[in-house]
Amino acid sequence: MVKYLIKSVLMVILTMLAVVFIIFTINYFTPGDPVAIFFDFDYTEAQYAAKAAEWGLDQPFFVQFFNYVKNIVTRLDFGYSYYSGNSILSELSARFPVSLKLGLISVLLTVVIGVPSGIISATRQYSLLDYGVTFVSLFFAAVPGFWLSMIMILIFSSRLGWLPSSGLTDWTCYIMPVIASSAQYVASVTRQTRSSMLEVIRQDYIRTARAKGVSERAVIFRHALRNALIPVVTLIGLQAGAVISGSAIIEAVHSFPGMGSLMMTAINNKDYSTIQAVVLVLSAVVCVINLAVDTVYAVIDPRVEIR
Amino acid sequence: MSKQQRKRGQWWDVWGRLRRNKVAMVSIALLLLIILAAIFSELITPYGYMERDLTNTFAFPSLEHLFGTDNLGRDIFSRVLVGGRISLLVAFGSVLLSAAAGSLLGAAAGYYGGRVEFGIMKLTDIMMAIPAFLLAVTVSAAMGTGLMNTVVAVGLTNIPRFVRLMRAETLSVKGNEFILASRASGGSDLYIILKHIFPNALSSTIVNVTLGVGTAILQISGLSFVGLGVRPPTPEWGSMLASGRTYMRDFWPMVTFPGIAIVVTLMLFNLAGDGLRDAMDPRLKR
Repeated sequence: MVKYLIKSVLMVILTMLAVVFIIFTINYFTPGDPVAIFFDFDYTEAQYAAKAAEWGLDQPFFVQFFNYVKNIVTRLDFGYSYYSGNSILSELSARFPVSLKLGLISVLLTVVIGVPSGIISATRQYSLLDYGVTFVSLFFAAVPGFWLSMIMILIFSSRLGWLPSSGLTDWTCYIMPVIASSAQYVASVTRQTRSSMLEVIRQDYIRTARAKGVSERAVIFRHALRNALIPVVTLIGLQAGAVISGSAIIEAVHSFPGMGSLMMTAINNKDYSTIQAVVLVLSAVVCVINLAVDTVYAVIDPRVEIR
Repeated sequence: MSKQQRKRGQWWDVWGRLRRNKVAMVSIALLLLIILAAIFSELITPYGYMERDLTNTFAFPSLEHLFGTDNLGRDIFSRVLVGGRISLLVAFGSVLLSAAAGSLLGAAAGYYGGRVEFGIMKLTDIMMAIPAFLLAVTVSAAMGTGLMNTVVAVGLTNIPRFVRLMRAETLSVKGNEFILASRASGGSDLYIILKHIFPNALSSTIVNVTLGVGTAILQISGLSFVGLGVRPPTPEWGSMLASGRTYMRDFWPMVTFPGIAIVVTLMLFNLAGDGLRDAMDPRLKR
């Protein structure tokens, strides 16, 4: 187990390094001279040279890349915003916890709601409840989070005035963004749990368990669920990235002071260094979640470790 | 029995199973209807999608304007229809791009094995570590907005799923004798991949493309919504939602109808994809 973990952590670090390289390269070759844009194309030679040196843009590509990685690893320093000239870290550090909280609650919600509704739906196949759950999840699987956000604002803020539409003043501000960023994924986790549960329930060993006189509860929770959850765990791992990046747009809709709205502002300002930083931080979060999922995987499926 | 006959037999079976699945048949029929309506949108829209009427802005839905009019007095129904053409066009384009590139890479990985496979699969893993939407944002920001650039940005991010699929399919048929026979009779690697490996993976690729178009529509509308992707005045569902957002407090139609269009289309693609999967791979169904 320990060996497996160490190996996975090393893999994550290598992957992250490759991710940084790819994103950095794309941005490096993005047209537009950041220094010129920063000065709004109105600068003297000396000003230009000074700014380029401050940002390290006068160095060759690989030196720039090396310094970028070094600064992130040693000081969590993501460089300067090409738009405001401020350190990106100071902007990120205030926003990171907010986004992380939003993302984690949403991912958690997909598990806490999606898995039980899938189980209920599968154990009562063809009941009214099953049809209800199936239809609702079919619907929500097709609803883009940012649209759900806007519709919820229309109904619950503008019409009914129950929930704050934007900002972050107290916990109620989390309600709509969390629902919006998880609804679609709750739906697909429900669908996946239902179908893999149905598949498992038809296996011979379940029939054997029932024949032995094991209680229905134990059949479902002890025998069926463990096997049925394996594809669900995979799905959750795959979706974590989508949940987190989807919440970026949703944050912007709700003017939520997280990294997503930072990214949206950066897109509007063509502030590539900030976009790059947000993408990297979010990718790192997703990598860590995937690592956690892999570990859960090894726990619930003993076959994984042998590989 | 000739090979041709057997092949028709297989697709005949698929059709037989699909025909019995009412939900899937209805979804596919409705999807075709939507696609046709989108293709011929400019002929059937009641108003020109760019036609402004500044005396009649922010009109609520009525018989004259089914979905109302937007901030410039343009008919929202017409724009949703034409927007559908753009959304579907970009979605299909990007999925075809990822299917073509991903399938070739995946087949190469499975077929050659060794270093080629290691390199391609590692690259795939790395791409999958970057959340698809964020990768699309980065590429799209780098290349700029516009139809073609959006096709490439979204297409790139969806390559991994096709690589994985085709690699698995290739591995499963690679050892078969008909591959060996083809090689013995002088078939080149590319010939074998295109002629023998691809047809075997066709059914799962069709399913993946169907589900992929749905995902792509979501990603494209997301990109356009954040100001990348397709920019106004070109109507696209995501960018229409973005312009509607400004006025949403006082005027709900602009943010409602393009969204409904996305939801309906996506639901149909999901249902059709599920139906096709059940029909093409009966093992997967229960």
